[in-house]
Amino acid sequence: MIVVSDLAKSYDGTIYAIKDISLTIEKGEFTVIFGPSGVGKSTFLRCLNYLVKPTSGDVIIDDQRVGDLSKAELLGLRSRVGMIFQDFNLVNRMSVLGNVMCGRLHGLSVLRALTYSFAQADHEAAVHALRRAGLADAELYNRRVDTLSGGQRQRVGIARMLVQKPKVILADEPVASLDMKMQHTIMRLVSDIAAKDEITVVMSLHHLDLAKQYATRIIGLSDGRVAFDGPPDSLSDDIIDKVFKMEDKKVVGTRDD
Amino acid sequence: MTDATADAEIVEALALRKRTRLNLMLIFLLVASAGLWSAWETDFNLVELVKGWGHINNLLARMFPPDLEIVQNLGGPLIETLQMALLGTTIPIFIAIPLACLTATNIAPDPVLGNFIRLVLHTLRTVPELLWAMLLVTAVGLGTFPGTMALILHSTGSMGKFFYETIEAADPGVIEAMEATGANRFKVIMFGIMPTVLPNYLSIVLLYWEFNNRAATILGLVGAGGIGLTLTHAIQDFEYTEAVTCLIAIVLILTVIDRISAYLRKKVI
Repeated sequence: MIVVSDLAKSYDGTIYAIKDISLTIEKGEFTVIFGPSGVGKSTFLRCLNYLVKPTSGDVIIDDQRVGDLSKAELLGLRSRVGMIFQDFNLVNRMSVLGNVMCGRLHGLSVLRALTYSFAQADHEAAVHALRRAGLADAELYNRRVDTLSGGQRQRVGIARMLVQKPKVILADEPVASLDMKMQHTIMRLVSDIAAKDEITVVMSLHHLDLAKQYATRIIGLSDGRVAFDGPPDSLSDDIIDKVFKMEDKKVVGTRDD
Repeated sequence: MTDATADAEIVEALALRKRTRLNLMLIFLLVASAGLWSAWETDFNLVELVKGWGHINNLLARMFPPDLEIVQNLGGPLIETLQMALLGTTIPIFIAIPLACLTATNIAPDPVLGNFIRLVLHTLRTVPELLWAMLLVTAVGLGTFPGTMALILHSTGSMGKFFYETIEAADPGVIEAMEATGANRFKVIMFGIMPTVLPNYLSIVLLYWEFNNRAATILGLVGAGGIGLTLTHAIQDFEYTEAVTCLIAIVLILTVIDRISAYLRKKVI
């Protein structure tokens, strides 16, 4: 369960990327943060695991107040929160297996990190995760990730997140760099995994169709604030027009672009 | 478009061309006068070279034929020079990479420490290695050790700068992805940065290996060992046939090293 109260973030002290966000996300919910680019979706996601430190407000994940955690405890929490990205954010010069095992960095000893050697258990977990992510072809495992297609790379990103055995998945526009067919494939993959393992998903999206099709709950952001919060079928075109009509006039400092 | 506006545009275009030419001419005059002024102030006079032709001829005559008998004595100093350059290139790697990680703005833990390290690196590379060698020879005495240390100090400053600039150009998305897995700063550097910057680092290291081999040959000038010392002694003793043999050996070895370095660089990129 994720509890967010009065969350706000300003990068420069005057313009707020997100403001006054208070909500509770139940375990197992597939929540889509919806809104045009530049509206604060990425900032919101990154405030949840403190990759971006909120200016004010609280985030509580599994009864832990994230802002109160020590440095080591925060790293521990992050290791249980998987993350996938629009541009996959893989290490291009590393192999598929190497990239996936990066999901295990939290528990890696200094000596192993220094010699880039992972334990046998990490290798096995990586192969298992790759199979689940739909990359069963072992021929790919030692290839550099920059030789793979976009869809395959996002599968590697998903496998990296899976070896963390996450309780929460944060997904930042995970299909925005993919073609239409692959968008649905990846969305279905994430939603199937989340449903089976009862993982809470918080995903930013700017495609309404995808949001409506896969989410169990949609949170619409406008000008950094919650403008809509409800199940997908209650989000009518009327509301969309009303809620998001102002967007073009707003200038919001965010990391979205 | 009427003829009148077309004419006006042509006039405008021609005027622009004239202005551009005038500007170029001015720049040329400025550079030329700066050059003439410098030549005047520094007594730069090619006539001296012509007037001294007799002396030069004399010197050249005393240089030939090169004394090949000393070749057997050059092996030791030559290897010493290569060893100095090798140490002067490899040791800085292990100093410069940690320092670069502490000062690269995207991953540095502390901005004050980062700025201080930047200042240290700047000082290290601003002092030429020959000057470092002079200072060190004064401090610890003649020999190859001050020479190697001089190369280490200068290379650490120069390589460190290239190293942190490369880190600062690394993809922030990958760094963020590593942080998101719960990796600490050290692991973020090892996995999110090092694999990406390594080819660049190899290229930088090879460049400084070449540079240090060249630099190592003249360190002997201030008593810091190597083939330069043999050369300096030969010139001081007016043994010009020996000196020219040293010079030929230096040119040959540096050519070989440049070739090896170019080949390796092509391989890593």
